[in-house]
Amino acid sequence: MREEATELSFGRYLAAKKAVAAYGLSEKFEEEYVQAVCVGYPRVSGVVPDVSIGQGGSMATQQPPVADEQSAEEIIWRLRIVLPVQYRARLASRLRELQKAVQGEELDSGGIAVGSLRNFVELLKAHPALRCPAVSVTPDRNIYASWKSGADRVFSIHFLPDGKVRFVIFRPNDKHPGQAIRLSGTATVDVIIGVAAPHGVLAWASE
Amino acid sequence: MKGDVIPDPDHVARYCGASTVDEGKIQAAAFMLRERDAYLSVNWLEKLRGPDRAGQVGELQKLYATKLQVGAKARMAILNVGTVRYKVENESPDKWVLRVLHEFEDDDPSHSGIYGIPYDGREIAAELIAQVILENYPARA
Repeated sequence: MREEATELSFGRYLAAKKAVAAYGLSEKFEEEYVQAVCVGYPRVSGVVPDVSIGQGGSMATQQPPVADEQSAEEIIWRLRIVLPVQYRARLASRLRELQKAVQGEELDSGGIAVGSLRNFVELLKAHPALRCPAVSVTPDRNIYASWKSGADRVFSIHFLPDGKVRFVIFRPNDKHPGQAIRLSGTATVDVIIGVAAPHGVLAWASE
Repeated sequence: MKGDVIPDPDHVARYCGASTVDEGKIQAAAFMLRERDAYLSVNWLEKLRGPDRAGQVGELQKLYATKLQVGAKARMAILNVGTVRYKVENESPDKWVLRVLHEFEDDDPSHSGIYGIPYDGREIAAELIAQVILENYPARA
């Protein structure tokens, strides 16, 4: 029920966003739309977890996406619900900015690779103690996330669309002050934190 | 001339698209190779006509505007050739030796390339290069 209501709300969000763009209205559309939902705008389903969900609105605006063909836009929309409140708005804003940048940089670009973005969000969802990373996009349109504390503490993950990740770790060599240990490798998104944790990365990558 | 080795004391500039800049800080993704790339594309600053850094930056901003879709937040990273080569050779897992060569183009006479970055080591090379950025400037005038 909650998923269905979320799909309906996203459908209305997309329809409303297109209308806003068509009429050249507010640039702060997303913020205003979320506020309208939260204050119980008439006939709009709530998307706040653990709140009783009601139905309403016109059938004409319902556009549930196919599960395997989520767009980058929908993934960015969903992360407002599934990621920690401390940074989800900031991260959503950053990802929207990146999506626009990637689409603007290459005329035929479809934007950020959807599989890569999905895997990135899944990692943050599975590890809510991780801090919000610095996020950029590689030339292949994949997400590249970095957690850093100075030049000798680096943990970066390159999210490939197929569930694999490539990672880099720089950390101090505790037995030889002034020297660093530098590692790189490949793994999958579901194990990467377990692979990296023994190297002490959570000391600077998590709260 | 095309193929000339750019000497270590000289400098190059790397265009960093807005998607590689986070809160004004250039990320390692700006220095990452694509699989089809033979080299990392840069511009040789000492080949430009500008007499000083400000002049060189202005010339590159004009060049970028003719070749690229330059976002408002795009930057250019200035690197010293010798520092980049030393950093990567000394701190990469297999002591990669980079060469920076002039790749003259009719519409881009200062165009050059950083060769020797292995595709399978692109992330670690990119992180090392990002650590030795000397200066950065807006890519758009």
